[in-house]
Amino acid sequence: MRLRILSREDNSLEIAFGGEGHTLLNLLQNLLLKQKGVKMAGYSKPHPLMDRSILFVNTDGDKPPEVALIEAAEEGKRLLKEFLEEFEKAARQVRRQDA
Amino acid sequence: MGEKLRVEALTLKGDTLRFILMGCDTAFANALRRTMISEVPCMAIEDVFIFANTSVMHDEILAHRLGLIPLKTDLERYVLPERCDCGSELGCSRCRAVLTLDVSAEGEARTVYSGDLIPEDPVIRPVNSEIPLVKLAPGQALKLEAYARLGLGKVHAKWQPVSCCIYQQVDERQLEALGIDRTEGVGKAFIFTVESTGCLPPERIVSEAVKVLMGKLEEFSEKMRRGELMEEIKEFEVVEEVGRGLYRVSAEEYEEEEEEEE
Ligand SMILES: [Zn+2]
Repeated sequence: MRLRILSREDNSLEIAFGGEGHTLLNLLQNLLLKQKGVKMAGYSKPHPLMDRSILFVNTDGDKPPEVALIEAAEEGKRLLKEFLEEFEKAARQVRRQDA
Repeated sequence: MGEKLRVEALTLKGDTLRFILMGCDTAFANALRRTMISEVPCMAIEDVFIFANTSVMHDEILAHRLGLIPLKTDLERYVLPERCDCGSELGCSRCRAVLTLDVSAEGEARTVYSGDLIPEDPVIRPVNSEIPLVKLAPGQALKLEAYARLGLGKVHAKWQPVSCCIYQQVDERQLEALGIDRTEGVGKAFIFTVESTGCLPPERIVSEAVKVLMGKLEEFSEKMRRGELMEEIKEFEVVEEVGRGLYRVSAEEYEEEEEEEE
């Protein structure tokens, strides 16, 4: 993953991701939109064959966009941890159904 | 944040795992699905050294068929070649496993099967020994050495650990029919079907996908904190970084080609 800031104005941040696509950016966008203080979040993949995506965040000013992004990543990590715990618990109770 | 994440295991049948994921958004379910398909590593044959091939099948077709054989994978003892310290084009015992094939048809025609491959590391062997590779006529022979490596599905589909990985969003009635207790109010619910090619157990593919996604978020969060935000971005990152053996194009060459066309 490589990151490069494309523009940083007032409460907006536009950042390019090298080597990442819909998998990560759609998740980040979703986590940003659920956050208080985030006015707008979106992403685009300018060319389907190129491994470069662009994420845009705009906040209300109480929270800089960088902080919103870090919080989104941390929330994603928390969800994944919660999922893994639940999944491992469920996997232990799985019913094997072999014909 | 809202409702609690919940997982209910349904069934495990052969290499197919079915489970229900409740209390998350579509984006989360989809990130998991996409990661399982394209970013969980598994083993596949990448380089083939052919010493003899008198069959009717051309070397490159044979090599392609060998690449598509699902292999049992060991993620503890092997690393992705681009992450291996050896830096060798041929690889070392941590980043490649060798399989050999030495078959000839004497007297009567015979079919060469995946089971004829002899693994150097007994763990890294074909998932199924009955995959036909080529049919040899009397007198024809095949002698080759195949190098299997870990790789990612986003580089080539032969490195996809799942033959099927889907989810279906279900409503309350369908959940009730499956006997799921909904008293807590679970929000959206997805039934996942994860079918492994046999390289790894399906539950391992799910937990590896979590590890991969977690690593991405971790890396992103760290880079944001440290302010590593002015890195150079290559337009064909995957091909240039991990696409061993693929046709390599640099962004400059691509632009030159475009100009020539004009
Ligand atoms: Zn190595």
